Formats: sequence, C-alpha cells, structure tokens
Amino acid sequence: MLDKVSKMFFRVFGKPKPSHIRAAQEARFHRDTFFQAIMDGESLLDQATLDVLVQEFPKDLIEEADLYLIIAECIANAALHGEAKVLGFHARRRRKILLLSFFQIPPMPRFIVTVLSLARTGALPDYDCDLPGGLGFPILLRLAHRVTTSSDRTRLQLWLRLNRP
Amino acid sequence: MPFRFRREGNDLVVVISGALTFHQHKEGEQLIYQVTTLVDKGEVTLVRMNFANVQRMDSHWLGVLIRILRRVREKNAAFVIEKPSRDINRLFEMVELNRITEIRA
Repeated sequence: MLDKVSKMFFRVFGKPKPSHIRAAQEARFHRDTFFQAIMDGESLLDQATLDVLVQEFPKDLIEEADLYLIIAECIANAALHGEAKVLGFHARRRRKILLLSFFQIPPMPRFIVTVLSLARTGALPDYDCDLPGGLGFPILLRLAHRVTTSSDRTRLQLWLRLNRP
Repeated sequence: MPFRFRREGNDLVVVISGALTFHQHKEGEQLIYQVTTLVDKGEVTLVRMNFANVQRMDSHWLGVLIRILRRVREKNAAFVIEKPSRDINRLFEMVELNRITEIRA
C-alpha cells in the first residue's frame, strides 16, 4: 500500500523505532498524501527539523510564514505538552482544501482536547496571569479553517482553505 | 545570543534577531532576567523591543514578551515594540497584542 506514495516527500528525523515509523505512516496513509515526515522525540527539540520541514514543503500552497507558525506550534505542542516519543506530519490536498495532520505516540493528554475546546470560543488567554501561555491553539485556529483532534487523541488535524489555484 | 542591549538616554533598546521559537527557551529566560535586572537599577523609563531583525516567532516567545512587559510595568517603566516585520505584526494582531502595548511600525 505504501509503495503507491513513493514519489511524495518522505523523511525520517532522528531514530524512531521501526514500529513507530510504520504506525505513523499507516495512520495517515492516503493516495493524496504528498508530504510525510516522521520525527523522534529528540529531533522535535532541534530547530533544524522545523527549518527543513518548512524549506522542503511545496512553496505554492501556503504562505511560508503561516506554515512555519503551524509546524512550530504543533511541534511545540507535541514535544512540550504532548510528551510525544514520535510525531508524524502528513500533508494532503484535495481541490481547495489542504489537510495538515500530526500523528503522535503516545496519544495527547486529555487536557489538550480541553484547551482546544476553550480556544474555539475565540477567547484569548488572560495576559495578566503569572505565566502567560495558551496562545498556541488560538493562533492555529486563526490560521486554519478547522482544527480537530481524533477521538483516540493520536491526531491533531488542521484544514486550510487554499486561495491559490 | 539572539539579542543585544543599547542605551539611548533613559531608553533601553533591546535588539532581538533570528527565529524565535520554543527551541530558544533558555534565551527567552535569559532575556527576561537581563531586562528585569537592567530595569531594576531604576534608570530605565522606557524599554523598546526592536523586532527589525526577527524573521519568525511562535507563541512561546509571545509569552516571553508578555512576561517582560509585565515586569517592566511593575517597575513603572513603559514598554513598546518597534519595527516588527509584516509577518510578525500579523502574529501580534492575531493575539491582539496591540490591546496591551504600543507597537510602532
């Protein structure tokens, strides 16, 4: 099944376990997938991983600044809050919709789903609290048309409407 | 270091450069400490964060900025952000940072 997508961009960062690579590949396999990367926990903490992903992503789909911000926020979410040992990043396009999907092992903690739900209200966090934070999802929700998590909390998915042909 | 300091009278100009993401979290803590230390000395009345050389930034560094802003105001000094690029300014607008601080083009 995976042979069918051999022409797409595919790269592994770090040294994830083979079982994790297989799980990340199969989690988001789709014939429209054109970009796939799999990162181990250590490579998530390396700025170069983010830089390479943005550099290698097709330039004609999304503003580079938006892509950088989306990937940076999702990697930070997985590495800092999601305790990810492996993160898969997959992109696919269907007509004017671009789907960016982040698959992680182990699944995201429950509180991330709660934080996303709160962000959907459109409210921004209180800037007067001691440790201001929680701006990641509000930013993602302003960049994407929809942001969802899968019911098993292994996937964070962003749907973007493309303005370009 | 992605930042350096310059004094212009009672203004403290903080020039930040590069891509600011959670990967530079240690530098963020250093910046908060250093700005706070300089403002604590009591001679600074205005902190100007110069963003002319910042190419990218994420929510972690928005948190760093907000923490600096709060520390500066606690010491009765003022805080402004200067010369953000179009992309950085767009990020500031997304989170309505202009509600809590002045942003100069």
